[in-house]
Amino acid sequence: MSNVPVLKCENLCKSYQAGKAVLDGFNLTIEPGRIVGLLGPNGCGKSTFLKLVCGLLVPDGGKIEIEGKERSEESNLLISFLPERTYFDSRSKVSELISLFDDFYADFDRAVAEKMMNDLHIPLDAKLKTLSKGMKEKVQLIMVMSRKAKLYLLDEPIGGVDPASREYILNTIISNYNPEASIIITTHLIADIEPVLDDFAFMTYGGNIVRMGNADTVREATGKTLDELFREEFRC
Amino acid sequence: MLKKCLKYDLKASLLIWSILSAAVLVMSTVGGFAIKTLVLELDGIVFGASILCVFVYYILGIVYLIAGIGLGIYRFYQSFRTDEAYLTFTLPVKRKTLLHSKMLSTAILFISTIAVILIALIISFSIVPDGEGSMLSSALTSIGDGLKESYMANGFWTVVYIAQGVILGALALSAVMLFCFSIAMRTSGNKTRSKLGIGKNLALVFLVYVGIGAMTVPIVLLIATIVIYTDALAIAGTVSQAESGFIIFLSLIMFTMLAVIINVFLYKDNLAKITRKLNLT
Repeated sequence: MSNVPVLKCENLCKSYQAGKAVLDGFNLTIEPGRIVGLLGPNGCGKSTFLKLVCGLLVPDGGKIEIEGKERSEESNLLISFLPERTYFDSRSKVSELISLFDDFYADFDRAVAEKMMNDLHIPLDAKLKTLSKGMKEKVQLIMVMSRKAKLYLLDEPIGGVDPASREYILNTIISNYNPEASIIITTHLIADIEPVLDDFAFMTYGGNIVRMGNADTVREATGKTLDELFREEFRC
Repeated sequence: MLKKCLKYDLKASLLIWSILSAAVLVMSTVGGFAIKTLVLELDGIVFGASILCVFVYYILGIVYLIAGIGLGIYRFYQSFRTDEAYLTFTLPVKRKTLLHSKMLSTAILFISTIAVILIALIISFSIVPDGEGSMLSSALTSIGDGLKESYMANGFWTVVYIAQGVILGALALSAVMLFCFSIAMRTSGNKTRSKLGIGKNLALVFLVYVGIGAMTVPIVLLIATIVIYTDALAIAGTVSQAESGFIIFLSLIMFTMLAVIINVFLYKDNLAKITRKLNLT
């Protein structure tokens, strides 16, 4: 396994309005083969951070390295990003989306995608606009996880999914990803996602990491779950 | 990658465009027979139905023209301004290629739409009788004769007149591109994505063209004055057909050149914004 971090961010800065920094000197390093939960209250900059990493936003300052190289247009080959919203053309059929990913991404595994769609009872000939919000989210997650990427960025991956399917999706995340790849998950459903996390980072406003570490170690040391620790840390 | 992008861009508009094209072509036959009925001056219900058919044909043609252009513009909007932008900009494709693909698909749709309209007109005119032949054969004969006569009288300037038509087409295409660029520009340039302002985009295109016109007119007037008063074309007396043709041609060339320069500027600006300043909040 390579020792080069999959993702390294140094002094990352981003603001949408002058004088109101969403991220101010944000630092984070993700080693290969880790599933990291990036947890924090609404508006603390989690989604902004993910968008900066996948190139949807341009940082005001700082550095982003993917596998030891500065982020560039080529980095999209290594990153598989799931935004928090439905982003496929609603007129498309599921099978057409599979073909699109198959065409553009050399690391896309069509057989895996079709199997997962089948397991979650999603008809391949269904148009996205005929599916419920939860079903659309499942389709998106399957598409993103069917790639053999080096870095998966999942922004609220199970927010709209029913509890019964969450377990399947989390198992899918664990069983499908490349052991050398890393996953960053942002979510509010900490209790659901906790069992799959290797590491966690509690993020507060301004992009400050207030607590981070290995999930098992922290649980053993404190005797508390990440969900409980999060509630303590961010109690209103 | 450009090929793949183009394939998906065209595919996104193909279904609607094909249905409309088929409707226009079918209607061109029906419309042709309707015009034939009107030409033959048949009475009664047939006459009424023919007027209705011609009216529908006319409306469909206009709708088709707008849709053909609009589909290309919509693709720009859909890819850059809706949530689909999250997919567009995370594809492993250079941003330049993405922009080129959208531009090419818009141009292909525009040219294909014009081609289908011309085919529809040819179909209709080949049905409508005129003398011993069809209106198409008469039109072709008269165009041929007209060109011959014009060439005899004006020589080289006949080519200039034909070129004017091509330039007008290019000008229309550049207006469409300008509209597309203004959409893309507003997407990536803003700190936050704003709602589509079709009115604002149209106004922008209109203002740019008025501006180009305002810049063109004085220059053309100056050259026209020189041409006419110095008899640069060596034709004495009043303004000849050749001189007026030259002035019109010059105006169009100037106008198109300015439009192209502005388009190139906007293209570069767009490219810079989607490559170095993208802010998809």
